[in-house]
Amino acid sequence: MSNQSQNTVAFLRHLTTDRGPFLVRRTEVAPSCDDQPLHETHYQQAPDLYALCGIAEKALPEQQARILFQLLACSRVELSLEIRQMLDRVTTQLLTALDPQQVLTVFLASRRARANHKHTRRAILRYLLNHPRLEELANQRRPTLVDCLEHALGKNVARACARFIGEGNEQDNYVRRHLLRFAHDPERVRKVVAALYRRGELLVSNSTFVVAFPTKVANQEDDVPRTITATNRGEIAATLVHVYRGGSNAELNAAVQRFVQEEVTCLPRFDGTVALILDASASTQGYGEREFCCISQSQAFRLVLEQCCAKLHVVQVGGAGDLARPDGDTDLATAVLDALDTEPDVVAIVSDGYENHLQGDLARVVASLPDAGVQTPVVFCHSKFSGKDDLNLRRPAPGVPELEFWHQEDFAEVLWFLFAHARSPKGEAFLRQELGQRLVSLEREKQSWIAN
Amino acid sequence: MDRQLVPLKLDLSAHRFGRPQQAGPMTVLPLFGPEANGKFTPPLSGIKLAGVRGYGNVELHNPSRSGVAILPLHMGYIQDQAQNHALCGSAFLGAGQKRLFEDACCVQQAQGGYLESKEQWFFILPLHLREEALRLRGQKHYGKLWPEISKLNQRLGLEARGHLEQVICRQRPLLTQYQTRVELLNGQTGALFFVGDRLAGVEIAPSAAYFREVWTPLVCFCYGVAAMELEGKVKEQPVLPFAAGNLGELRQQLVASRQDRLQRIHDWLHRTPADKFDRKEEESYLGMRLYTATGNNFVGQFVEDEGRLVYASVAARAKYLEGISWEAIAN
Repeated sequence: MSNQSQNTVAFLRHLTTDRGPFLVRRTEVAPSCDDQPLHETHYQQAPDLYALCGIAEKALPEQQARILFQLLACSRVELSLEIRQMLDRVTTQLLTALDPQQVLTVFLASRRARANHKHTRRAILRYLLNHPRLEELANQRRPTLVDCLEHALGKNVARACARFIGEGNEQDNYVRRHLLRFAHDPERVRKVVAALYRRGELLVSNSTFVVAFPTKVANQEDDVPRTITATNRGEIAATLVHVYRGGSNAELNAAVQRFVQEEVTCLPRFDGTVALILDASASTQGYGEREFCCISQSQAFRLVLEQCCAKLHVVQVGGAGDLARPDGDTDLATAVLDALDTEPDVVAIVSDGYENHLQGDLARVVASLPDAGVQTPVVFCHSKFSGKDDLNLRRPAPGVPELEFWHQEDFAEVLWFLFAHARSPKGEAFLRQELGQRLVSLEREKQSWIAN
Repeated sequence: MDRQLVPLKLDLSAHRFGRPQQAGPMTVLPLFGPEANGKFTPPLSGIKLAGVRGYGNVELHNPSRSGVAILPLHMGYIQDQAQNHALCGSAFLGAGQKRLFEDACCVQQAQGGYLESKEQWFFILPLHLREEALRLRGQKHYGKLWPEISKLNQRLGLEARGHLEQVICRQRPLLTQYQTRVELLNGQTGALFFVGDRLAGVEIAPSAAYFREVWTPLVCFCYGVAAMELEGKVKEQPVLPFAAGNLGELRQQLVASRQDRLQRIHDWLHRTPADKFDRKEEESYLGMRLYTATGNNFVGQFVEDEGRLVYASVAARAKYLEGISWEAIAN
């Protein structure tokens, strides 16, 4: 079941979870990161997609630093102009977003790796010479900046520029050609370079630091209600709970439709076929104050998914009809086979995770799919009551990729990753389109000070 | 008079048995029987705890206007700040009747206070206590079950004392998952419970409504405790894929594998020794008779209405449960 989009999704997960620092040790010639081979492999497979992964939502700065290093350190000789431009755009976004100290570490790493490609040198010079906190960096990290400049320009050229700047305006063409053409404010750079080589006065910074990336992430801890009830897990599920409790009427049904339409306006769209296995077995009814919560959120997900993909096949486990009361045991294995018969691009199992007919069959069937010639990915989507549900006994197929939702706000991320899992070429196309749009919107949000 | 209570041939014609369900070491074979047409009131709505009148004396009340309530065998109540109690036997409670059961047992050794009618939530004694509790029916000594509770706590790795709440309350998050891991089906009136590879109990209710109300106490606290003891004791085996070259073959192999697993359950039933039960009539209500059944490997109580079996709660004896193997059912 392994394919390109599956690997890319796993890589995206890695980018959002692995907090291992990006380190350059004095004794080593390359950065010491356990996942360096992983980054290299993904870069080799598809450099543009790899780069776009770096600007994915929730990608960790430590991982963005690795990506930046990869983009700077690798040659682009055989890449098309379009891809080179894409890599440059992502490089600009990463340079703007990352903490300057981290960027300097990446620059030092590229120096240590002796990576002095044209794009590397340009990126270093544009970053250093135009940085809003250039004076501060020059004061605090003088030797590092000198190292980076000399790496980008060449030692002799850098020192010659510094000497010419210190001596006045003689050889100004030389300085302009090699150094100042990358700077938006040449006079400011003259002062800084002079100071870096102890040929001028100490520097004072008046600039404020600017970051390009929005930091808001949906569903922060503060947004989660202190007490979770049947009706504060999103409007769609809240209305469906009332329907399930026996209060079905025209007003509630119309409200469900309206809430679904409102929700889908901000959700990703997928130009492919999804097979949804909807667990409506007896256990999804729940009990006590949580009665009908699980099935309502699962149904809400189904209604939203219907609007977000080109074609949806629903295979229901237990119950009957569109909004049937939960009933019956849970046979997910047969449902997976039924779903695959519809030849979808991806199969989503939405369930509370309690498989009982016969337990273990789902794991066996999913593990058998590659040898049976099936490349369609199967993704398990946990329908939970709250974010803190214990899933220990609710993982019927441990090898299957898992997504989780308990609140309507989780749908966007779950759908995004679900569509990204789709088999080639639909999954990759979705990823490129979504991440490409994100790049454009980041560029629109704020013009980077690095850009030409 | 001897009587063979448990049918030893698995009838999969779907008229009596549903599809088996498995959750960890527990396997449940659902049963579907005839409805009693409102003659029996379900236990939660038909039986109310009126209170405890001194330790070991539990008063129950049937507030309904019609319908006989059959006390589920070994039902018990837990409340805060009161000594929790369980009953040692089943009984009839006619509409409007109030009865004091003086042979109840305390299941919380060092706790004072009397149960009140404020909470009606009930449990069924864990499987490993049922044989002893049934043997002690009729004996008026409220501390009579403490030694067995202490032993149960010890085998579960808990402090050895006569406090059942150590299991029922503190393990509740795990135990209550059994009611969702194993699913009650529409119209279900009973079930055969297996723990590991052994038949651990047969539960038959007079109606689907009755069984629905006794389901959670049975699956979570009676058989669930026995299953919980085995959870995690068997090393998880790696998933073994089917050797199928296409979807059609995969489907065929899944069906074949399920047939094998059904056959395995069939074999468990076949291996269950054909018990001969001594039955003793305990009480009657109009044409209904409550019996205690004692066999070599199983004990319990059952109710016949005009000779027709309407209620049964028969559990494996401790010595029969000792040879349980779960390796046989783990994939």
